[in-house]
Amino acid sequence: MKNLKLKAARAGLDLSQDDLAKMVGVSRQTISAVEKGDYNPTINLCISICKALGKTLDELFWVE
Amino acid sequence: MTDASLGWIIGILVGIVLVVILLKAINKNGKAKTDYDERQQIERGKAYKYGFYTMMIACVLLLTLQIFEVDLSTLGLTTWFLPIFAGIIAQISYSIFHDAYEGLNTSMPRFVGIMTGIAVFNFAFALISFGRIGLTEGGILRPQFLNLLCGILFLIIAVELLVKKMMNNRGERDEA
Repeated sequence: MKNLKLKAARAGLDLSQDDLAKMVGVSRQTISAVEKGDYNPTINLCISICKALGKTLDELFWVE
Repeated sequence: MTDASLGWIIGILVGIVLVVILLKAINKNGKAKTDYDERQQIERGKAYKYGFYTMMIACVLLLTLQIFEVDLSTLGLTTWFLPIFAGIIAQISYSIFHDAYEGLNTSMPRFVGIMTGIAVFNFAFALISFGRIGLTEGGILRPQFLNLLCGILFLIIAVELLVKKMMNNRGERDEA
């Protein structure tokens, strides 16, 4: 399942996938895979992404 | 210990030192260890698994050919290296096409430059050797044939990296 909330939060801060990848210490392709729903990140990476984007885990990763 | 076996051992030791030096040159932070993120580590684990399976299948194929009395003696030393090459190609191909080949600290321009140099050296060494002393000795492939295989291996990696880069560029355009 695509993570549109993550993509929107990133775009909201005018960050490219590469920018976010560098901020959290992963490859651009990993951020792309998370956004496309091809890869389920570990809780550590989720937290790093949330901190980088100033969001909570619920806001970015909770699925109703 | 014969001169040939001593040369083989020295060659392996020099090879190990050379690999460490080249890795330090390729990695941006000067470390010999390449860093990968969590997704890449998982994908590389799968890549090693498929590389291992490929090597096992290649070994069984060679064994089967021998059981069926197919003459493989003309391959010489190459017989031992064919399963290794098959495993390496499977591992590298899977890594490249799952974005797990380029590490976080890898300098790709340096990597491509060094790999191209090694490929050219192997091709040149093999071709010069074949020109001077021939491809075979007593009907058996010379060990220099392995240089040709190494050159082909690096060529395959280069083509795969190029194809993957084109695929990634297209993907980036679609996502933009």
